[in-house]
Amino acid sequence: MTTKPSATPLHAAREPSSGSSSPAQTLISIWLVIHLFCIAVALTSNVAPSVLQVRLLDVLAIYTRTLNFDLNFTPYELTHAGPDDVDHRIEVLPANADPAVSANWIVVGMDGFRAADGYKRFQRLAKVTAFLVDSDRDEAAAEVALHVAKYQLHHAGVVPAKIRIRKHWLQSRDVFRNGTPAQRDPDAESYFEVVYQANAIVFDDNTISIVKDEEASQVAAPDEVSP
Amino acid sequence: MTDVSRSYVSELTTAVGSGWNRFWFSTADPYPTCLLRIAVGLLAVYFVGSYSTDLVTWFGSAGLLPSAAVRQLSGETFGGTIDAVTRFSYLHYVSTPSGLWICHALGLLVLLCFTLGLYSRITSILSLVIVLSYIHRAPLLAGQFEPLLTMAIFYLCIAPVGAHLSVDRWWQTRRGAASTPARPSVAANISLRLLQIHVVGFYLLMALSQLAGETWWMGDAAWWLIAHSESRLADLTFLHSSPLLVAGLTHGIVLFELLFALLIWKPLARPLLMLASLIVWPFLALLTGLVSFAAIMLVLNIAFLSPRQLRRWTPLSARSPAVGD
Repeated sequence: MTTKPSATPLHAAREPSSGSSSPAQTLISIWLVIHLFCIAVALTSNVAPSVLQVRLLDVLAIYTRTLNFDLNFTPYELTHAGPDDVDHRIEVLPANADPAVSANWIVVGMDGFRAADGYKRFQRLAKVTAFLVDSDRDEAAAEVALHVAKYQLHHAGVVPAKIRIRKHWLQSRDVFRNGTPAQRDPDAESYFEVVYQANAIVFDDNTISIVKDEEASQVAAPDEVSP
Repeated sequence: MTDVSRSYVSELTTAVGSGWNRFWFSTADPYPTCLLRIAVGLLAVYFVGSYSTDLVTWFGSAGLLPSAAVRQLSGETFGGTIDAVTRFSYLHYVSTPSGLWICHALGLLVLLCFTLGLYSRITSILSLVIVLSYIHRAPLLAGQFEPLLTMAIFYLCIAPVGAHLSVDRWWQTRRGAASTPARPSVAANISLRLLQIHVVGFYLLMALSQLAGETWWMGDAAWWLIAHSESRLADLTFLHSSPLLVAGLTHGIVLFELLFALLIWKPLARPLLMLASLIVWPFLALLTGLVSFAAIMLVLNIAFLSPRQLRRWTPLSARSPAVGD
């Protein structure tokens, strides 16, 4: 039993060309080589790129970013699949509500069908904001918080008092084997960690100022689930 | 020695040149690209349509991500001074609710025309601009699905995607301008080859990325996918008592991706890999909630199937005979 060589076209290709090339073929070939090089650089730079790859990505950005081949932080490994690669959520506390009661916090945009991309976009915004906080870019995180607060005020009719980003820690297998019923609940408070919290100050003219709540943003991960 | 080297170099360049030409510049039946146009078009309609519920929430001037904020955030996050050029989006210039809705409706209309194969040459390029505009308007919100979608539409712009199963074809036949079957073309071959190589690149990247992570080697990764209670579609936490099964699933996912990348070129292995992908991707969709991503990975399998097989499986194929049928 023999198999066709890999160069054999998959699609009943006809009239295979001879060795000589027309000018059009030469031009297309040049584009193909450049294109494939760009793709190779963009794909292989997805995880831990080298200095050379980062430099090449910058040079090729005009092509790879324009056509969305440059994947940046797209997690193609599906997830790092570790206990610290977790879901995030953005929550808003309305004015005059007790922050200690978790039911008082409004989870932004997480009421949709979880398979839908609309639902995932809110998760991604929360995750990117948490990434900004981790990277010590608090001003950028505050920018997101500001727009969340503005949106709540102007469109959802909620006067925001606090905005926070929470990490949702994952349950280990041990929790199911040896844990208490409360520990087996994935939505138990012990599985959440505040990575960023800010106070939203709403002025009389409906402008909003965001002031980071340093203390609340440094809450440690719960012991039983920390990696 | 010099003669030997010269003859080797000559033999090498001839072999590489003819192999290259055979690989890229043979002609291929455009039928798979037409089928891909429908499937990818439907996914593009879904992608843009999925913004309908939150269009003003995301893109409005008082929404969650106003244009200026995105430019600032993506510039900082994705690091680039040429961001405004490389992340062009016509949605940056529209922020009123009525303007956004008009653009959104027109975008969906064009994508629908592309799916149906109406003015496919123009609508394929417009579809790419539309989808890219949504992605570049808020690159922070993009996930695994978007790069595959844009890649597929980009390559379909090259092929004669209106040659079969399209309004264009139906209209030409009606006017008597297309009585003969659509001819195989080099453009269809280049489009399919690029799709195949890029998809294989994705598979390889996925497998290698996973192998760079400790949990994928240790066999725990499937558990940490299962444990994402805010993302998963099915609760498989009952597998906590079956570490062997969890490890088997973990290694199975990596093995499938590696084998797909390496063996999809072999005709004998192809049916098995296709069958495996029909199992693996729906399973991963249940595990991760990444339904659109799993759907496009399944759809892109079409690029590896022969037109004859595809004709046998599609109900409208009788109206789109191949040359020689």
